[in-house]
Amino acid sequence: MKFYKIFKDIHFHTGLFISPFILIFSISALILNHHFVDWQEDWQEWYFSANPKVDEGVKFNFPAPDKTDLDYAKDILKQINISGEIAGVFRDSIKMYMPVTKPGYRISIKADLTSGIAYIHSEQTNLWKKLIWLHKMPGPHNANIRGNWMYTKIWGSLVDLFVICILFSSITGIVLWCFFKEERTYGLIALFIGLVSIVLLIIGLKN
Amino acid sequence: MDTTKVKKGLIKWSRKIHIYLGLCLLFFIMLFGFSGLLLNHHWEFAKFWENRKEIKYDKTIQISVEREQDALVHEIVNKLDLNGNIINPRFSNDSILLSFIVAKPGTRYDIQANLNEGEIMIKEAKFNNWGTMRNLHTIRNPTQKEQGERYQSVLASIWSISIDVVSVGLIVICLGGWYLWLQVGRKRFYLGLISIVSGFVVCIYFLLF
Repeated sequence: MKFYKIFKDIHFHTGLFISPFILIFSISALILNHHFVDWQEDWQEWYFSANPKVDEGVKFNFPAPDKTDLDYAKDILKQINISGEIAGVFRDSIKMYMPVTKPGYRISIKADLTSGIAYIHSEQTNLWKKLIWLHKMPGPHNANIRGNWMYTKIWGSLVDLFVICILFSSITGIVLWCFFKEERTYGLIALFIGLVSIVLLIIGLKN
Repeated sequence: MDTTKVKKGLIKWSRKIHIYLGLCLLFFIMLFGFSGLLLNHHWEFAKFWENRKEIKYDKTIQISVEREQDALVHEIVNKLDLNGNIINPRFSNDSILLSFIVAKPGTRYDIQANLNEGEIMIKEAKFNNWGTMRNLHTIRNPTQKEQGERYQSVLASIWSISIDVVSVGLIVICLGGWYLWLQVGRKRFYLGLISIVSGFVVCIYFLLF
């Protein structure tokens, strides 16, 4: 019985702790899977600097030239007081372009490397896009620079913790179910339905 | 009606739904959880693109004179007997070449069809199981902006529905769990409150940052 109580407590607390994360990931998965919300951004325009709009120009001091592109971009961002995940760095001898993203915002920064002025354009996104940002970050793309903002790193670690907790919660849930004699038969049927559905679907999709 | 009876019934059914739904979705939750970890990390053992097996081959088929993109793409896919989602069909400037991708979990075909000659160049890439898992995580319905650029296969549509079922199921499991938590004794309630509030504080902070 002591064993049961320990598992019950673990399941109870991990389940409650991860429940808001479950809501974030479940709601954003529904949004991603459907188009009842216009979640898809015209990211190419922003990412490849096709938008000529400028909100303000801010002066910056040139960072040390021996820095990597990413560190150079981070230095400029710090000076112009902008935080966010640098999505890419495009640099030549006279200019540098940095698309920056954070939940609720996407920012274009064009740094003129001859005059030392950074031209900034910021766009606000909605709550749904914030949820999607959280669902997709850090994600598989741009692996060499992804996670360059502390916030993304922390969120990434929290997502790992969430996944570990949900797996842990599932395992403790199974152990607890084993204690309930009256739920065994229907529980086994539910487990079997889930297993058969996923196996058949994966076989069908792969072939 | 006796409120205690109703409450007891609600507790009983919340518990049952929590258990059965959790068990039914267990393997899906594990798959999406683990594949989510794979997508967020770049572990050496789970590399799939670098470890793909690629083969190239040509086929010749009879292509109708029809030059409507959707019809042509589907005709070629059917004649080549391929299954999967059709992505990014593009005509060359002179409309002689038609290229597109057919993708399914674990396999991707890059197709280039010469419409005049009926010659089809196929580049087939096979991925390992890690790649398949990543593909399964990212299957979704095409958005409105992708109409004409993505065509979902029937099975992929069913998989998309299963993603909806898992998402809604998890929300129901959460709500049921909260209801069951509200029914526990005072001491456990406050301990649970600490857990749920810490989860909410973290999520709201990141959402409003």
